[in-house]
Amino acid sequence: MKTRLLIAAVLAVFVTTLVSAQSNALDKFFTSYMDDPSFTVVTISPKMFQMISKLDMEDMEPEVKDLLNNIKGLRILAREDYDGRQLYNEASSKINANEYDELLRVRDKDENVRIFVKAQGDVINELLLIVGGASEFVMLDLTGSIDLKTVGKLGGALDVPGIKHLEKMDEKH
Amino acid sequence: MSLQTFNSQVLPLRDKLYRFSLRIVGNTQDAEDVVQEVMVRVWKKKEDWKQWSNIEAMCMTITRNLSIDKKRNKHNRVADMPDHYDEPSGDATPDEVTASNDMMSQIRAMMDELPEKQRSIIQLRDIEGYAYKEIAEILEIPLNQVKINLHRARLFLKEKIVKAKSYGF
Amino acid sequence: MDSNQVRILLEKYWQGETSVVEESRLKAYFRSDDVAEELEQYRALFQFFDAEALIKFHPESKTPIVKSTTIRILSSAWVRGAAAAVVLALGIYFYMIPGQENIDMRDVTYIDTYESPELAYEEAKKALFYLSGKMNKGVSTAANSLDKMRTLDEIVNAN
Repeated sequence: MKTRLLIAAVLAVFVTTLVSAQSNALDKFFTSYMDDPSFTVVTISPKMFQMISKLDMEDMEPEVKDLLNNIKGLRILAREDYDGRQLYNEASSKINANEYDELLRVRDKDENVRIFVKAQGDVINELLLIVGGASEFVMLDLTGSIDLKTVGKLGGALDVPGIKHLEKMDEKH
Repeated sequence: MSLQTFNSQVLPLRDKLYRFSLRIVGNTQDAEDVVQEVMVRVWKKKEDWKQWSNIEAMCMTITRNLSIDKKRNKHNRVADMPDHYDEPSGDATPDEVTASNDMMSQIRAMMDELPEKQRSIIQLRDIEGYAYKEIAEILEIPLNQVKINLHRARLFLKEKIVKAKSYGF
Repeated sequence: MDSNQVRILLEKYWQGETSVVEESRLKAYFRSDDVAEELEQYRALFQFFDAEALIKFHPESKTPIVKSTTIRILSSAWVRGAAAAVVLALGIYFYMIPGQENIDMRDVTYIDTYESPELAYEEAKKALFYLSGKMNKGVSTAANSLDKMRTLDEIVNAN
């Protein structure tokens, strides 16, 4: 019981602190869809990434391990089995050109993809991926110290139909 | 949403899975490891959930199989188990125990003398309250075997208790 | 229940013929103070079952895990979907140390979806592969302007 009270007290302070903190348009976008049950939300905190870096998993490829050791946070907002193109436009409009640099943009018959980064010199400390396809919307926000070369090396499939289908890759990876 | 299903149907099972594993492996560390492993495995098999008639039974079965494997790999002798179990790990014994610890450890020791299948049946029936049909599904044995094994297990415990009393414990 | 009824039930019990309801009646009997003397020897067994059923995976005293219902009291906007156990106390303490992290306080969305690092790892890995696929798609698609590709190339080959 005491633990609960303590946690409630800490949370209360936390909420007040948060209310006064600035939040940008992207956060508002996240928050606005977070509670919608038709969206998938994944959040992995810095604390959790620290715990991940301590895991001893035999089948962890070195590239994955390297990347994870330098990632601080991950947020994913996704909606599956849904035309994501409007959400893609909505998300894109929230991105402040002064804050983020567009790294690449792809438009093909299946989907639209944009990747934005925030870099300080050579180091990318935030990466935003937005995907809007006929059957999914995905927004992925990675923070930390991201090595694009290593990410590229992972060699994810080019034509993966959707993020939920990644389970099939477990057999290969 | 698979995450919602996982959160609402799989995560809440952990207490039961933990108790079940603990009954088989005999120590808290291994039981904790097993439960974590079960969570990962079930999550990885997300696509198969629709085919499972009973997610809970499947989780319990996976728990049992992993626990048996773990125990086998550790080559624990039965005589060791009560010691590990009673180690002051601080989290196995709930505060609400009113029976004397002596009696509890005796019963636990009697349980540990049972072969795994009978011990598991007692766990599933007398502690978790599963119906015979569910027990049959979890242990992957025919329904009539459940009652037979339960009867044997309970009779064994009864005889042990009576004997202990006659020795004046 | 008088002790005769209990004796009858007990006989059924050893035979494996009691129902779940009858078994809980037996347990209730052995929890009471009125246990007949010759049945006293079985009390420990039924109390053992009671006690064992209370064992939890994460007892409160050990790990500060907050169920989502507690968070709801403060702000329902934080809770996403069904009850997800969240490791919170340590995480919050972490964020509240000033200057500890360079991440800005967008922490309302940093409430962990997964409770265990093993699960989080699986999802993080998937996300990275997904990202990699999209990135490589961009690099290989001719639709990209040369400028963009050069930028990517520059960054990628910076070291």
